[in-house]
Order: sequence, then C-alpha cells, then structure tokens
Amino acid sequence: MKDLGLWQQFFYYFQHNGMYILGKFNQHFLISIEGVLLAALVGIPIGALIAHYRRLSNPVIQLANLIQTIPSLAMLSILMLGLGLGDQTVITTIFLYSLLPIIQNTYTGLRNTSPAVLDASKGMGMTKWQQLWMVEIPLSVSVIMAGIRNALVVAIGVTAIGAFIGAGGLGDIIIRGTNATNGGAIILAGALPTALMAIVSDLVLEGVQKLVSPKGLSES
Amino acid sequence: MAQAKPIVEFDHVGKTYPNGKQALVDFNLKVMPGDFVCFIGTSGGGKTTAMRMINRMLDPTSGEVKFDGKKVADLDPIELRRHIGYVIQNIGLIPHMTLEDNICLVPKLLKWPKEKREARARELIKLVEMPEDFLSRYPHEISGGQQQRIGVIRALAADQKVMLMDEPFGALDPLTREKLQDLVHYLQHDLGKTIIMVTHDMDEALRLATRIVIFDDGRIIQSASPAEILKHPANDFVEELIGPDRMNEAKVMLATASSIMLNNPVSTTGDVTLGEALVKMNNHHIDSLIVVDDEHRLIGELDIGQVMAHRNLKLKVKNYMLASPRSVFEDDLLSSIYQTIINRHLKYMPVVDHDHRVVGIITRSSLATLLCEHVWGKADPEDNADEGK
Repeated sequence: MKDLGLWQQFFYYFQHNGMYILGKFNQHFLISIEGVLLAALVGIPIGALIAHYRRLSNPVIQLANLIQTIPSLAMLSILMLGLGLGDQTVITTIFLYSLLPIIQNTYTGLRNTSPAVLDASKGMGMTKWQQLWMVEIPLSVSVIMAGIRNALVVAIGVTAIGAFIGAGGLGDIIIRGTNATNGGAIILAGALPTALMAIVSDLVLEGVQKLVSPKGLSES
Repeated sequence: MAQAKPIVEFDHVGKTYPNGKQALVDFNLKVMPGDFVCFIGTSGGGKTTAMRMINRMLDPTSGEVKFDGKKVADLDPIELRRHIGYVIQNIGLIPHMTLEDNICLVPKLLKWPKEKREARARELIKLVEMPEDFLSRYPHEISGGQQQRIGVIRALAADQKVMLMDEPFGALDPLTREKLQDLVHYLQHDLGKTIIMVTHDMDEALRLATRIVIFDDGRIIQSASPAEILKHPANDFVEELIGPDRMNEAKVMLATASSIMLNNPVSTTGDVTLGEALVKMNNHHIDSLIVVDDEHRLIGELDIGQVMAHRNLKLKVKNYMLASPRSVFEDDLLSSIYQTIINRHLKYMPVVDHDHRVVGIITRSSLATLLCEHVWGKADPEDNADEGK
C-alpha cells in the first residue's frame, strides 16, 4: 500500500469498498433529504403565513436567523444532549438549518407577487385559498425551490459532520481516514462523493426548479 | 310601466379612515341598468374608493351600497365579485395562465363545464378581433393593448351585467386607448352592460359617459350628463377640469339659437299695407320683414321682391306674405340649424319661443361671427375703437 500514490490508493479503496461507499452515500443522501423535506413541510406554510400576517414576519425570520448562527457542530452537540446519538439528531439539525432559507424564500416569493395580479384575482372573486393556490404559489414556486436547493446543499455538509454523533453517512469514511495514519486517500473517498452529491443535487434541483415553474413566466 | 330599478345605488355613503381622513363624504348616486358612469376628479378625491365599495373591495364606514336592490353588506363578497366585472389599470392578467385560462377564470370559479368555458373564450376573443390561436398564448407574449383587451373581456366572461373599471386605459398609447374606448362603448351601447369607470381623462369621460360624476376631496361636485356639465359647469373646479379648450369647443357645439340671435327683429302685423311695409323696410335698411299676429306669434315673412312684384301698395301684407315660414326654437342647438341656413341659402332664420312668439333672428353673419370667435377668439373691443377713429 505504501508504494502506491495517493490517487492510486484512492482508486484501490474505491475498488475494494465500492458497495460500502455506495451504502454510505445512500444513507447520507437520505438523511439530508429527510431533514430538508421536513423543513419544507413546516417552512412553506410558515412562510405563507407570515406573508399574509406581515407583523409576524420579523420575529419569525429573526428566530430562523438566530438558529442559523449556531455553528453546526455546536448545534449537533446540544441536540445530542436531548435526542441522543443517531440520525434523528442530525435530521433535526438539518431541519432547523433549512428553516431559514425555506421560510425566507417562501415569504419573499409570495410577497413579490404583483399587486395588480392580486388585486385582479381578489376583485374577480377568488377566495384567499384560491389566490394562494392558483396565483401566489405558482408564481413563487421557483423562488421557493431556490430556497430548498440552498437548504439541501447545506444539509449535505451538515450530514457529513453528523457522523461524529453516529448518524452514519459518508462522514464515517472521512472520520476513518482522519484516524488512520496516511489516511488521505480514505478521507478523499468520503469527501469527494460528498462534494459530488452536493453539486449533483444542486444541478438536479435546478432542473426541477425550471420544470415546476409555470410556462407562462418569461425567462428572466 | 314600472320605473326601472337602479342596479347600483349609493345611499349616504361615507368612508372615514381610522386616522381621521375622510375619503368619501355623504355620497349618493343611482346607477340605472345600461348607464355608463364615469367617476372623475383629483387623485385622492374619493372616486376609486367609491367604486371599490361596489364589489366590497372596500366597505363604507357609513351609509349603504346596494347592488341590484340588495345591500352589498349582506352579500357574500366572494359571490358578489364573481357577478361584477373588474378591470384595473395594471391589467392584472395572471402571468402563468394562458389567455384562455385568464378569460375563463370567473366561469371556472363559478364551476362552468369545460366545453361551455371553451366556447365562451372563443366567442369573446372574436369580439375583440384577435385570432383564436391566441387563446393558448401567455400574457407576456402579447402587446399591452391586447392584454388590456383580454382584461376587458375577462371581466364579462361570466356575463356580468355590471363592469367596474379603474382607470383601465391610463397606461395605453392614444391610438390603442381609442380602440379600447370603442370596445367599451360597444359593450355598454350595444350589449347593454352597465359600466362604472374611474378615469382622469376628461375626453374619455365626455366621449363615453352617459353620466359624469365629478369628485373633489371626497365630495361630489357635480353629477350630470356630459352635455349638462359642459353647458353648466358647477364651479371653477369643474371648468378647470374640463379645460379652456374644451369649454370653448363646447360653447360652439352646445350653443343654442338664442345665444347668437339678434333680438327684437323688425316685424310687422299682417294688417298693414304693402306700402307701409315697404316704408318700414326702407327705414330700417332691410329687405324683408317678419310678420306676426297680435300676440307676436310668427305667421309669415315678407320679402322686398314680393312687394315689388305686386306694385299695388294698397294690398294687405297678410295676403301676399310667405305664410308659415321656416323657424327654429330658441333652445335648438346651432349644430342642428346651421346646415339648413347654409344649404338653403337662407338670409336669416326667425327664432321663436315655444309659444311661437318671435324672439329674434339668426342671420348668416351671426353664424360667421360665432365661427370667427371660435377660431380667433372674441374680437377685442379696443380694436374696434381704433378702427372707428
């Protein structure tokens, strides 16, 4: 092993532990996406709520901002005290981190709906819900998706650190590499797929964002 | 026949905002079916406030607004709005919906079946002379004028009888605006829609409205037909709003016979002789006489040519005059008189009141004077004085 260069070691590791890495990759991805989806489920309604009751918007966004300022390792440790080791703690952390971009983008998107369009929709007899579903959400879906994209990229990074509290994922491989003597190749075997995952999911979500944004909106 | 009921009625309506600002004060108005009412006035004068109360986009703080005899305060605002067309200045087409979906928005909210909606969309797009394949386009793919045309037909897609328009054509270029004005005129005049339009464009109001309501500072300054407003502006504010050019133009358009006629024309009774009539003509340097009865009613006219033809100056005027001559009433519009005078080469036209008593005459030169005044302004009396020296 010692005679091999770093990249050769890297490929060697990959060849011999491919399925293991793939398993960690899947686990990593699922943890990240689970946290983000939970945050979307909670964050989008909150965003919609504060867009309509604007007085709530400041305290809510401030709070989400506050959560964001806590370093991820600190957050993981604090939550670990309550939730114990394992992936549920990481998912909760991701959930909390993802709230800000999702709430804020939902809020911004909905607030930016053209007042003329809203006035016309109301004046034609749409209920508040119809305005939300038929007009505001479709018009702001791409901004909301941008928030989710943002959240997912951050989440993939947080999950990597989550390995410290036993959540699994590619972070496991990275930690193993840091513990081994000359473990550079192993670190890479964990780190490169993590980076790849972040880049690819960003690209994929960009595609999804284009797909779900309604056709009539001009490209701008 | 029963008197038609107003479709929209304001009954002592007021709106005071919590900060104490009075947006509307004791507003009363009855809008009859088929009316075209224009609200005009300064911004912040209350016109938009008043209009938005009809479909309950705003609620009054005092008084009642009625729609079709029912108090709107008792109606479900959502349901009410679906039965009143709504057109706004910024058009407000929904950008991610095709023109068809935009047009059929209210029918869809009212749960019309799909086939009926599609048929309606095709019918309406034909009305505004746009090709049917535009229905699948999106709002940003068509011009501003076309967008507002869609905005207008969207407001009548569910066959709403009343349409509210808030400065609908303010942002359009003059040519497009004119076309759209033709469209809404057609909707009101030919399809019998009732239209209530907020505008700041007096030309638009004068052109389209059957009634103009002028607002200032939350109060009605004047509410009358366009002709009435031009003829009798309630105060300086209204005059200013109309503008000097239009006032001047209106003076000509709406001038009546009495405004330019010469008073006390030379007349005679029928019982005098031709000779006496001739003397009278000579004294006044005129070549014709108006013949009246004892109560000064017009019975004929006598031309110098007729006198000369008979030579026998002892004959009575009443036997040789031209009986029952052409005449006009003092309140006839000049615009309806002048053609007769010019086409028939009449030298003058007697003006009578409604009891047929002669009150004056219009000569060709009085028409010419009016025309000159309109084109070059009133003659300055000082100029005349100079000429006299």
